[in-house]
Amino acid sequence: MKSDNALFYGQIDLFLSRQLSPEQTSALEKTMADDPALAQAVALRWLEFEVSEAIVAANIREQLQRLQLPDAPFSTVPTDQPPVVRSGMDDVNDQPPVIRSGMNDPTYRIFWVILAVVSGISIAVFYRNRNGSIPAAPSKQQITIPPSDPSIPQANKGNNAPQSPVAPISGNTPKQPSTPTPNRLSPPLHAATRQLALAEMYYKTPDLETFRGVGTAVRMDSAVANALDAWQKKDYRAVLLQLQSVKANDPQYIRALTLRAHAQFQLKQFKSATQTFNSVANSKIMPWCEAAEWYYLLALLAEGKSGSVNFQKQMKKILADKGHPYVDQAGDLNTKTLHLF
Amino acid sequence: MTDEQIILALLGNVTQREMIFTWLYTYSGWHAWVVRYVSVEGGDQPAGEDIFQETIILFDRNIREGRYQKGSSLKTYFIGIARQYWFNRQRRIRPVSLTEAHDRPTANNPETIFLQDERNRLINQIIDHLGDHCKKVLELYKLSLSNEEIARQLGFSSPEMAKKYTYRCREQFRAFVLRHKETLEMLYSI
Repeated sequence: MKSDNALFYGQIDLFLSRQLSPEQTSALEKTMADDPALAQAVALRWLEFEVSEAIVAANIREQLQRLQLPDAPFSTVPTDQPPVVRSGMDDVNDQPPVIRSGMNDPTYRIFWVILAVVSGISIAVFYRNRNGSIPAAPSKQQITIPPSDPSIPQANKGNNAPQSPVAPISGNTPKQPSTPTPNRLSPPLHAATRQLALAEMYYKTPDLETFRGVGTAVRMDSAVANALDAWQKKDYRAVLLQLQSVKANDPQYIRALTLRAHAQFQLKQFKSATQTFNSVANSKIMPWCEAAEWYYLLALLAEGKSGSVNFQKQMKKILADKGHPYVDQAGDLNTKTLHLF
Repeated sequence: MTDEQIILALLGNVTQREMIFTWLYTYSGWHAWVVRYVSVEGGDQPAGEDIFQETIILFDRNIREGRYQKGSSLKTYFIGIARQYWFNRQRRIRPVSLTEAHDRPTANNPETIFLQDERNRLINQIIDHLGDHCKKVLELYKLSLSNEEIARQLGFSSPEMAKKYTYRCREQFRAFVLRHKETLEMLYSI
């Protein structure tokens, strides 16, 4: 680097983002031709820009693809969505022509309705011929909440329910719900689903390095290291299994407890996750406890307990601490949960 | 939501950015517009989704790099990019950058297309070489987040730790690239 070109090194970012004046740009380009080191520095910085932008783009794509999924939190437009403002179109034609495919034609709609009715009758006749009677529709009591909705504890699991694959580190075994949940799709379920969607939206899967720690040597042969390997493979059940052997006097205990809580959250064992995050939060060990306070809130939300005293108490606690690392997210979440009911 | 609010969110922290992308996709009506536009112009739903994705990526970058000059509303600007993307897609060209006037590209020779593809391939190779953590660090650094925010996002105990780690990742990146100087020269000459 030539010392008299030091000024140009300070202008590389501006040059690459085209924020230099034409004169400055021309001067820098001319100097680059005579100073290979400067030219290389520009090329290097340019590549860093491009690589970083490619990473940013990949993350945006990933988020948009998540939104495209049918079960994405906001893939269906809720009834309370803000109206789309139509007045800001200026010089662009706001509405492209409506697509007139055959499916939108009224004749086709009538055809599909008739087809649906005929199909229904055919199915009924089929069952009548086979069983002698049309199968009775399940009563409300028989309609169970789909197991895919993890926010609702499954009723009547009894002894056949799969046990948590891991005994808790400190013996805080999550209890099965003692009372059955309402067995019908009701407004509370809708609210619970929305709470779960919110929780999943705010939940960020921690990076492996967060658990491993920068400059912290997690022994290669330790249970935590094995759990981290499993975490990397997204095998969360194996994570829980590996962490079974971590004792409370282990130096890695708090790390293990946090990892365990996240694995439970990933497995949608929200009740257990709530308890484990709460344990970490109560440990007062920084920085784990602060993050755990936030995730404890999310686990409660995922459980459908945004109206609970514990949720409100924890929310207030985070919001009152302006230096809390999650105070902004908590503020956003607080606004959203106020509109839930 | 006003144009200013959208811009502020795009220039904001990770959470604000995610929220605004969700809003743009779900509530703004821009997504539906693009998908319908592509359908009308001879594409299909997946093509429309793809064009929306690529548009939002370039739109975001242009906003962050200060290329939007407020000569039109944001929606007009967005739709201009989408239209150009679709125009390019039909000619198998990916635009490199946009002017405010959304000029249509003139360079559409196969050599340029090949070199751009090659550039993208090599950039992907570099990304693959970086660890997940460094990728995240470079992304947050590029988004001009403060060390405090980077520390918060990545679970570091302090902003100093974030600064140290960012430096380390950037050095790792530079070292890797400088080991492949010919790649750097080739990429930059494209």
